[in-house]
Amino acid sequence: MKPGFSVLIGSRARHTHDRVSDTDVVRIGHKRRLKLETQRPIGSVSYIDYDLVKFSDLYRRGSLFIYHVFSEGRLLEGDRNAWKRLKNNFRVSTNFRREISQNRKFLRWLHEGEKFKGASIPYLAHACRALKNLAIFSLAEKRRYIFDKRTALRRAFPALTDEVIHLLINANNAFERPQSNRLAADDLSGDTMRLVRNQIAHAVRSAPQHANR
Amino acid sequence: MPIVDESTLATLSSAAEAPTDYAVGADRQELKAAFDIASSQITKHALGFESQNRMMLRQKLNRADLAVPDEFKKLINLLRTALAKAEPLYSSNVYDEEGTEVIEFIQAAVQPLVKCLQKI
Repeated sequence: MKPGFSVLIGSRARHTHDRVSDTDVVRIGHKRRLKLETQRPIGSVSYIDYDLVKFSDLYRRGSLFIYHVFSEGRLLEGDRNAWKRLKNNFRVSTNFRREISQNRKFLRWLHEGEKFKGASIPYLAHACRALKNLAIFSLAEKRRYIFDKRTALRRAFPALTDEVIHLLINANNAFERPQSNRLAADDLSGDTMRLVRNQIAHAVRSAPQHANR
Repeated sequence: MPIVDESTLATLSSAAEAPTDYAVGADRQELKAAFDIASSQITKHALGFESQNRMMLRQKLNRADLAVPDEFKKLINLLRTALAKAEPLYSSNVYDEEGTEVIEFIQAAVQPLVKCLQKI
């Protein structure tokens, strides 16, 4: 058996993918290409690589991402028994202050000035990712583990409307996946951007506040 | 109106002055966003278009028939170079914990871009 593990995560592991979804694969302890790549079209493959030292460190610290990999990942390659043992012995942290604080700080920076002018799609795409991370970490502090971005945004920030969530996710898809549906910057009116910015600012204020340490 | 908004340019300038600070972690996230926003704002200001994503932006900038006003030729050339070298900023290479490749990108591409933006 080849050393290391390959684990499918994300929408394809959850079976919630669409035709433009990426295939996200975590490779632990190796950098071999995924065999499926050459067998059938599965969108573009994004690899997230960890050497064993880094993986062990994250494992020991109870990383939420490692919990994500264990809880919804599908093992594609590697020793199933060893994977099962690792999974059973893993304890996820409940302290995500640093991550929450980082994402809040980033979103505040994004909100400063007029970054959206002349850059509406990158602005929305970066806002989407940081807000999604803020949602996932905020929920995880309450031991609610949700990794689907739309669901996490809805649960963590009930004041975000479906229209805004849809726009954020579409902008992120348009920015990160060249093959996705077109979203023209000209379609984003000043009113739409104001609505999005107000709702993001509200969401950032409503996220858990931690004293600076 | 400035080509790149003040706060975005401030982040790029800080990264140009202290590349190692922006090579990893939260500051790298901010640099990545600042670079994407600045790229879009530069083309919007100088060439009148916003692109949907980086790939389309690069394709448009590399078109042979692209008309670039003389005053922005240097800036657009620097942006082309920066976009071509930006891969380390977007890769999830967790083996490079020091962010060596990002530091090289800042030195080779962000510093000249910032210098040019500050002069215009």
